[in-house]
Amino acid sequence: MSDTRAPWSVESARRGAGWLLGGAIDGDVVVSCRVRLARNLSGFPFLSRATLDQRLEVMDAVRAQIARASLGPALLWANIHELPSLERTLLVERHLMSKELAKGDLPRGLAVTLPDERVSVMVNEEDHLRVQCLLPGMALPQAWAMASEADDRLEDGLDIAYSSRYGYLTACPTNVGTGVRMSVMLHLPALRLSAEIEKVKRAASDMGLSVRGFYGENSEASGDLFQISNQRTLGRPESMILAELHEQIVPTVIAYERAARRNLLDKQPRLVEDQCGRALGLLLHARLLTPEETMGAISMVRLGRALNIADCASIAADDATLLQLMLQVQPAHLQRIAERQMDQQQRREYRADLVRQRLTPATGA
Amino acid sequence: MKCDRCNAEATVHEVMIRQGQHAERHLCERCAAKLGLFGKRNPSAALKPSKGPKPPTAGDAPIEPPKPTHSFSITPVSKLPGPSGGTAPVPALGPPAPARAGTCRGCGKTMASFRQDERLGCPRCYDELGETLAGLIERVHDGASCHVGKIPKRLLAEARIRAATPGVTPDARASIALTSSSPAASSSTPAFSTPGAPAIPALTIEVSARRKSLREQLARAVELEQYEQAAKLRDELARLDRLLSTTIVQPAPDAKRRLEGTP
Repeated sequence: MSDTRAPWSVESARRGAGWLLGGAIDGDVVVSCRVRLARNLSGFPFLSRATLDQRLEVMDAVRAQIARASLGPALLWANIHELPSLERTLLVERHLMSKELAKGDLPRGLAVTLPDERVSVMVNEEDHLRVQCLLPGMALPQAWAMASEADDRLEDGLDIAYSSRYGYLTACPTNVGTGVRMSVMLHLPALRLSAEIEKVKRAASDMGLSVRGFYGENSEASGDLFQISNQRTLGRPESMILAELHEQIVPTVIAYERAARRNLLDKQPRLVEDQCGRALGLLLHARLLTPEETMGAISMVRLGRALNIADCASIAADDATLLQLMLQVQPAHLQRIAERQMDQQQRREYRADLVRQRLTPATGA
Repeated sequence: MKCDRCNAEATVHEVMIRQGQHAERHLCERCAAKLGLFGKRNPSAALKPSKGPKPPTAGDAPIEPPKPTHSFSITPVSKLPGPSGGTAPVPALGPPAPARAGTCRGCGKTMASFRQDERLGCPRCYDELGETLAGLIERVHDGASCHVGKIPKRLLAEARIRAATPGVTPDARASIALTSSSPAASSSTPAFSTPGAPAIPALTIEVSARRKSLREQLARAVELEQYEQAAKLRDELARLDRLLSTTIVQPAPDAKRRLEGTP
């Protein structure tokens, strides 16, 4: 664990995550893109019915193939079931693995490419393998290409469960077919402020898409960060899912958000200035902060910067720093940055101090 | 409420939704049974997706309390007998399921336990749990019943060899072409192409072959009064039409420029 490149290292926590760097294109709204592929080995039961030996056998086979596959310049492998709780939480906070993988003590593993952390492979989660690619900005086609390439390399040495009728066979039939989940994370503060976000959610649902929060399923949209992803995996090729999200859905939502921002500024300038100003005041002057209120306030300050509201536009932190801060104020990251364990009260104090430092020009990051 | 087919009291209420279009039918128990709306042809429990919004499912709240004796059900149009979904008689069931007992011979998983945890036991379950599972899968995936998209490279290579072999069926060739000819295959996804493999005929030709074959099967099914099978074939034809109209769309030049500027 002394490797400074490890995602749970102090250096990584202080550096933040690559996928939160934002992007040159549509960076005011689009935060990141993710593609996940669900795969299983034929000849083995799915994990709900696998014995301990079978779990180990699957993990050994996949791990060996990951080692052969050259997925990145360097690769980290972690036996998640042997990892301390804080490290597991750090990996979840960094979106490198799911909460499901973090739970439990049965054999399970995670591979992450280093130092970029762009490609990761969860082993023995709901499916035997879940290959993921996570990129900053509006880069869904690249994320798909990278995930598919990693999938090809892994498949070379593994017998993947596939049927000509149903495609890639998965433990839950909601993922069968392509096994692909393509997601785009968007920052939508103006749609939330103008109460238009529910319309977006309904429209997305009608189109077979899901809208989830920053930490996925069942999570609230902390910091006005929303993930839009495909639901259906059968009967439509990956190219169609990709084109629909990348060419139609996401550009439309971006346009809605920008229109909502303009509308707020035109029709309720005092209100939006007040909201952004209050948020900045909270971040600069609070002495105790919870993760939720911090993320909400960062979201408003980010909106203030986009709308060129004077106070927000003059802070020391840029857009990327603000996004990184949303990650760094999470409980495990905070403790790793502080290099000590803290209880909830201590975390609130440290969080307020950290945020103030990052936003204040004299001592800003 | 009266039955749509006779004057008896309607106790089965069905709502059909396709592409946002809504249609209802209201039947008495006897007529519903004649139309095969009970038992195997209309699974009473539905698969809920593990993520996101709930798909159309059977088993929701009754729509006419307190009289109705059967649940309000939402059925994908692909499961219905005729184009209007209402009046064509359905005398026969589809082909028998491979495992009538509803138990997977690979792992012992049953449909009953699947309905509890919504997880299958092993890859064989997809074949072993038969048409009941197939119906649930169709429902979850908006009526789609088969995969279109990426296939493992080793299978793609084998399929290409088979496709190049004289005597291969149009269906097999169409399946390969649908998998291989998406726009992404030629640009951003090297995963779809196998260098040195025989060239694949154009998508349109292959889909035409598949459609021709389906039309012939449809005509045969109608002739034999196998209406349920005919309805499935009709939906598959419609799906192929939609696929053809969407997979050949190329990314706009503007999109390409945006991609080049993206890290």
